Amino acid sequence: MSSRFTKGGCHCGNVRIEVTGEPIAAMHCHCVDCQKITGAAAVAVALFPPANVNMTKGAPDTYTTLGESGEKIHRTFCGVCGSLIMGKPEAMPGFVTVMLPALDDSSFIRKMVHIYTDHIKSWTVIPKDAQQFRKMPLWVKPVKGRDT
Amino acid sequence: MSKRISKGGCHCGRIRIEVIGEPIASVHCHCSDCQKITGAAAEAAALFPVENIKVTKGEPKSYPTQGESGESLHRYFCGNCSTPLIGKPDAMPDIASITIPSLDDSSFITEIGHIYTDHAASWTDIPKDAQKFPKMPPLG
Ligand SMILES: [Zn+2]
Ligand SMILES: [Zn+2]
Ligand SMILES: [Zn+2]
Ligand SMILES: [Zn+2]
Repeated sequence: MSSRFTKGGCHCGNVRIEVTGEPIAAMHCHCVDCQKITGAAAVAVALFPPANVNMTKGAPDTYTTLGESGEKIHRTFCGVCGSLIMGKPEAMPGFVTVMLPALDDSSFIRKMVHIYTDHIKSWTVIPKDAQQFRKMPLWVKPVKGRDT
Repeated sequence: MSKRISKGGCHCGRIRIEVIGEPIASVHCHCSDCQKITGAAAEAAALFPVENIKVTKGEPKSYPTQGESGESLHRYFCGNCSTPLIGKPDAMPDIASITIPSLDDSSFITEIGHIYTDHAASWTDIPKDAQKFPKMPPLG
């Protein structure tokens, strides 16, 4: 079976990426940092193993925020057009996030979950039947200390 | 009557803005350009008379996209942290938009409509009873 191969990039085309396979999960993140940096109700991301995400063109800029874990999230964007492209959470080295709109075709992604809904603002309404988590759901939490 | 003054800025604090008064309209814009640039289902934007929006600190970068009118929309963002801040459409020189999350307190903005829902991605969640416009509705 050949695995899915998805291309993507920023609005102006200076940065291009390639993603292999299906995402581990896809979510709208409503945390305050994601709201601020996107200019939107929530960032829309898909999680992939880092080895499945490749930068094929350009040198994007990086901006680092602090996640709830206290560890860093490195957010990659195009310095020319401002498009957000990827995120690398240090707390979860097994995942890289890719902004869904960065993909040329994201139509293979359907239902998503909403996370950090505790932070939803007065101007955001999500469907009542949407799957939602007030914080980060356990199944994407880091499994640090598992052996101790 | 004193007018509301709302302060705001980007995530890293290099750019600060001030907005005077109430917005003309507030929308989630699902157009393809807004999706691509925000990394989200839609940009959350509030429209104000252009003279009511001021950059009080720092100098945003600008990137033009082409609106449906064929004229340019100049998008201003922080070059350090990527936060989108202001949009200025050439087609409507009296109006500018700000991104709602750039405001320090946006709680005076309540339920807002969805525009360009014709372009909404397959994975977008819009409540059934939300106000929706397939394209850009007339202002006012
Ligand atoms: Zn770009
Ligand atoms: Zn987030
Ligand atoms: Zn900034
Ligand atoms: Zn738009």
